[in-house]
Amino acid sequence: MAEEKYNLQPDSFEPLGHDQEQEIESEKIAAPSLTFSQDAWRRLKKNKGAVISLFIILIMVIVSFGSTPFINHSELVKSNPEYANLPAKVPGIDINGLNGKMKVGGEWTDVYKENGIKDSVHFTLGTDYLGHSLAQRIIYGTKISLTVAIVATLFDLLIGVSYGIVSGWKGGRTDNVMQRIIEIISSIPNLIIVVLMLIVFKPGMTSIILALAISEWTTMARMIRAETLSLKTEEYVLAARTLGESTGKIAWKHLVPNVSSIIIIQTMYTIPSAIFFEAFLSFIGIGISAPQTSLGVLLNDGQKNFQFLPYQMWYPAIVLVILMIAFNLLGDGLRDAFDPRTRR
Amino acid sequence: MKKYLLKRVLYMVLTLFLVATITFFLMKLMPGTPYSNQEKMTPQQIKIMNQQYGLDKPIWMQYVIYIFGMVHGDLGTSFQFSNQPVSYLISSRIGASAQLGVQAMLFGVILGIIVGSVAAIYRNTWVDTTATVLSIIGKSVPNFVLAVLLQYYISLKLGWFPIADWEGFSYTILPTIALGVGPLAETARFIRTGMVDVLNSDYIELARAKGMNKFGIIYHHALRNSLIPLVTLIGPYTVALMTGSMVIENIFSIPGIGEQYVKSIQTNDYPTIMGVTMLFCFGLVLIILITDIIYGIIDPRIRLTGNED
Amino acid sequence: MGERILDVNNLEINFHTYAGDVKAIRDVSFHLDKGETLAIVGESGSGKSVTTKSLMGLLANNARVVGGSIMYHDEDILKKSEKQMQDIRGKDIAMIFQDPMTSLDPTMKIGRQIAEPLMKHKNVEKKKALAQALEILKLVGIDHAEERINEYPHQFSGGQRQRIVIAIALVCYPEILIADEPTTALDVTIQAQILDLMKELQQKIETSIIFITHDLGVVAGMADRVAVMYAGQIIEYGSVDEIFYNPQHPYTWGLLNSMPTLNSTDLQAIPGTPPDLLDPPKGDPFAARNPYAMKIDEKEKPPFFKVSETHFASTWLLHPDAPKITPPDEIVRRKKIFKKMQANVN
Repeated sequence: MAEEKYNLQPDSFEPLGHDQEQEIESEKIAAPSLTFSQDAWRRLKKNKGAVISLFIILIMVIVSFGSTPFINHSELVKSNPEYANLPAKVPGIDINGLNGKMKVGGEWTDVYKENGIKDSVHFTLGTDYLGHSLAQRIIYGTKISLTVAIVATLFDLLIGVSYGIVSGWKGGRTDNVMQRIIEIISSIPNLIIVVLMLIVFKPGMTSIILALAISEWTTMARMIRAETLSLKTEEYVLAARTLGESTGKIAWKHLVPNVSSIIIIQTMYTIPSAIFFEAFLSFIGIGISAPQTSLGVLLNDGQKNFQFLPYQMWYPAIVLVILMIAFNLLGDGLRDAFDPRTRR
Repeated sequence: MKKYLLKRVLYMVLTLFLVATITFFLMKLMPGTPYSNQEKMTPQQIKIMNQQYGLDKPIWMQYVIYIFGMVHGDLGTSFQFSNQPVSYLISSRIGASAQLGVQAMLFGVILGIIVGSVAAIYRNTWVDTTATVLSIIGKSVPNFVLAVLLQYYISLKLGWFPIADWEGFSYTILPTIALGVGPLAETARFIRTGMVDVLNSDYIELARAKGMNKFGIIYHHALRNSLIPLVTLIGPYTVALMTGSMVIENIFSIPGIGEQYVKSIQTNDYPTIMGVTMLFCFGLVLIILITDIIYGIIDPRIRLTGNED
Repeated sequence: MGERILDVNNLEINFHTYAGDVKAIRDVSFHLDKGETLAIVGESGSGKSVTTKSLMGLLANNARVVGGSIMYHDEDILKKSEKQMQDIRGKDIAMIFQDPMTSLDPTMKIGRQIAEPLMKHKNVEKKKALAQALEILKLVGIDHAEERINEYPHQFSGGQRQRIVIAIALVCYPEILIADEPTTALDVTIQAQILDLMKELQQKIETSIIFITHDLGVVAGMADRVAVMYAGQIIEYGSVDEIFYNPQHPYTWGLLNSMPTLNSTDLQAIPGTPPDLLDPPKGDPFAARNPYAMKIDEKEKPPFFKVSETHFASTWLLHPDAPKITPPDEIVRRKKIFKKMQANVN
């Protein structure tokens, strides 16, 4: 029979004798369990695009805000006509477009030489029509754009989160009224709120921030409300209520951690949208305007001379686009990290 | 259904009324007089002008006149454009904007559906990666930057299309692309996510168990189920197109509403600002209502009961 | 029993994951005769659903068939192209899924969903297909079928939806019907109705059924033969009476012990969890949870020992040298009934 090939020993059929402890051992979970945020962080780290984006954003924030002692506004508004409209010149690099040469009438000509500028003077990204260093203006402009976006997003977060939690948690009539208000506000295009605000207040940083905060918070409020509503009926919150925990404690212990992922993700999407809006408003001339600097202002300036001095628009445009891509990718990465279900 | 519709229309009217009121009083709060050449005007002239525009009456009366006029389709008279009625200004310019908007919406949505579906069907391949990268870029490049680049490189350098103006179909192509890329990227992302969900669902598994081929499954089951929710994005797209039209029409010198709006804002032409504001609001509210109704009709699961919460 | 229509031999399926290859199906063999019902029983993760998906050619992308064959009418299904499989699926082999709430397309009228296989496999034009769909809809017991054929899935209850799913599966009169836990998601009262319906239709349509379940209670009234799966292997198979009243494998004992009966006073759970199939144990996979385990169980995988012409079990307890042990009381009670049954037959 087939048994021949089995290696049967005299003791083969003796009982193995499991003891209880062994069984308990086998039911232990091998890996240490991670908290929700640790798990999300671990997943985020696996997403190369998101990690690179995070680095880019950090570098941009550090460079633009760290430049404050070196680049100040009063310096930037002084005009230096002798240096006007110089192309990029990086010492040691000899690639047309980065060596101080520019195509004029189909020929690459050294603009620095033509204008009789000393050899020691060079501008890494060239200069604008008033002779300011474009690199300095871009760094300063990025700082302003980021400030506008971040502050507006913080306001938006503050209004949206508290509105959403109150509306969702209170429920009933309060919720109903608050939802109708949101419905009405959100059927007014953001653009119109922003434009009206800018007409009433003087165009400038503060009014853009206010306008953005007022027009963008409804999305956040809606999401937070929906989450609060569904959490409220969640078994563990019901359990906590039945056990007589106070509302405030429940909100802190259960609501905030669960809502925080939504807040983080939504913030990451609000910031690029605010950056875009600032650039848009400044570009059409109703946002931050000329002597001031932001990415939108730079684009507006650059667009006027684009035909002849394309670099003046290209550089700020590249910075703006990289910033937008980085925030969008990081937002996507965070969304996937916090909600494993959407990950594919 | 009827009750639901009535309720929605009431909300619509209420919203528009509120916007009209807020806009009106905000305009009144604004500093200075609205006349472009007021430095040269004597107080006497300003008084005559005020009388002519009804600005000498008390504010509440101006408000009543404004609302009353609006109900009858009269949006007042422009301060800037040779005293034309605002309603005339709008109606003479709405054609170009509407054409551009519809074209951009169709371009973006149709191409977006194709890109998104292909990415979902070939998910986790290079096709998917390429589509994802392109849609992230499409979402991140502001349309006005794209417009300037297109205008310079495609029209000026290559000479494929007219640089600006609005005199025929070839004039509409670049503005349509510039305006439509945002909705395109958004649609592609939306459709991809939705379709990946649908393709993983049990009813697709059942369709495969029926012996249907890939094309049949995608055409009959996956596409329909992932397209329906797209209707909800038409509202947000409308907002994006309105916003975009302001800058795109400017760059390509298109005689549309958006270009008019920017001009009015820059020249403090209150009646026109108010008129266009109301037009944008009305358009958006109407489109949201229509898409909600369409959504209820094409998705058998949604019943228009009035409590969608 | 009738002619043999399906023969699965030494099937081996791996799932590729980041952690390594999960050996989900290991050396599984069984067969199916015309007109019979075979129940495959096992707890979740034992590989029963994977087995049936391989019959349909619907394995997930990361699954690889490493060995074995699935002979259907003397042709190996595993060697067929996707195109050839599409012609078999829904026509010769059809499937009913577990959750009727999610297995119907929410945006398509149910009539069209039932008619689809006909249009695909029998080249029936749409109108005729819908007429046939109406017939089968009546057959599965949907009232007012004429009106309801134009309704959408959300307008039906869970039990009705499962009837519709059955209608879809049976509309082409398939030779084999695979039912993957068809009643698990339903209320107990509805479960019985659906099982009765399946039995009734099996007679009318003359189909063979492979019935996948984790619930032995459902099996008793349904199946002709039973195969018990554990950790990707079949560990015992036999006629329904043999499995219920003369079980040989300690895992089958455990399953029967954990099933409520009229006589049972307390239910016995099987301690522990199934082994990790990333690195399956060398010997008997059930050894770690088996109170009767012997030293040989850890070293050698037991072969199938023949109990009767139709009954085989893979446990060293059946080896002639193995010590005689006393099974749990409930099993002893069942074996007594089995002896009586056999005495009656003789």
